Amino acid sequence: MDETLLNLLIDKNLALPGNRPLLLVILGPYAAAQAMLTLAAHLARSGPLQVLDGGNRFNAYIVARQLRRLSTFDKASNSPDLRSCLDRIRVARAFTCYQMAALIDQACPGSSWPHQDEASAKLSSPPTLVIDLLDTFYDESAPLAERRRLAEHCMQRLRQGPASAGQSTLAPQGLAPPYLRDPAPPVLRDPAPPVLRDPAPPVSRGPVPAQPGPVVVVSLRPPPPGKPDPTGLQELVQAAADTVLIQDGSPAPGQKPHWHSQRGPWPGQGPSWPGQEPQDRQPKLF
Amino acid sequence: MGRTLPSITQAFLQEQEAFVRFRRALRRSDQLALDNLFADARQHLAAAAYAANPLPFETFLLAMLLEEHKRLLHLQNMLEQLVGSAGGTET
Repeated sequence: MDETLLNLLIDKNLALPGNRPLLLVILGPYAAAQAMLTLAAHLARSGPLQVLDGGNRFNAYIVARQLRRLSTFDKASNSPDLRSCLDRIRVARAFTCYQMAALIDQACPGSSWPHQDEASAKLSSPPTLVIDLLDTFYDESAPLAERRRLAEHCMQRLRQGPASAGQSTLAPQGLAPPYLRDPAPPVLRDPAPPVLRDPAPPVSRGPVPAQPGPVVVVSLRPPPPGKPDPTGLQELVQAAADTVLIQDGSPAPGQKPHWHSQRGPWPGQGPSWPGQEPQDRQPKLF
Repeated sequence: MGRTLPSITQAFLQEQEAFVRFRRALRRSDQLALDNLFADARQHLAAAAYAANPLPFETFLLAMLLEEHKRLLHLQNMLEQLVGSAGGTET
């Protein structure tokens, strides 16, 4: 069980102000499949979820066990049942890098979607989990340049976010992200005239609803120790990420894995993705 | 192309593997009884595969219970026959 990772994800309240989704990359042995399945179980309890599986690692039995365990510990009477939670998960598998690119195209059709209101679409987008994204990209049947082009295309689409299919929430219900809890933006605080400084009359005293943006979580297998990825695809994916979580080694049986977070590119690298400005990374998580 | 789920035999072996530490802590006689229970469940893997339960261990537990109940019915029949035959000889 990777509860450390899960608590990290939930406590840190994954949400970005604006419409762009949070792109989280997780590195771990076996593409952190156990952590991804645990995350899938938690997300399926709160709404629809799409899972893109590049390494054939999605095991529905494990998700079902996690869901049963969660419902056992859940004291709420309206806890969703196992089958309805499983019904919310939409799994698609890819066996070639072209299939993976097509799946991501379908899941994240891009920002220019003429038939849907963009803001509402973004707010109602389901979380997307991509398990072992690069597994199919390591197939040497395709030329490296082609694989690299496809990987860049995939990351571009993943950064744009998933399509609308339901509600997305990774934060606990009733806990709003910091930018929603803040009464006023910092630029409006002290030097502002009273009309801007004083709070507006309350319209509703209820808790601020949690409305984090869509979340895309990608898991990867780290290269063997001392052997960096010769294709450079992993660095490409990490450079596009908002946050990178790395599992420190393989835990012993029965032990919980230890994670550490790393924001964006590897140390020593600048932001290498178009539109990825340094200030874009400042107010985030971890 | 690839598999979509582990087969029921793989799921059974995984469940059995999950109880290795429990088995190790048992007495030898209890270990043999536990092995018998899993052997009973293994006889119904085809039915468990057809059931396609998201939690296959529930099906395995029912298969164990089924075999236990079959044994109970068999013993009950034997007892009734013995009682019947004993009653017949008395009269």
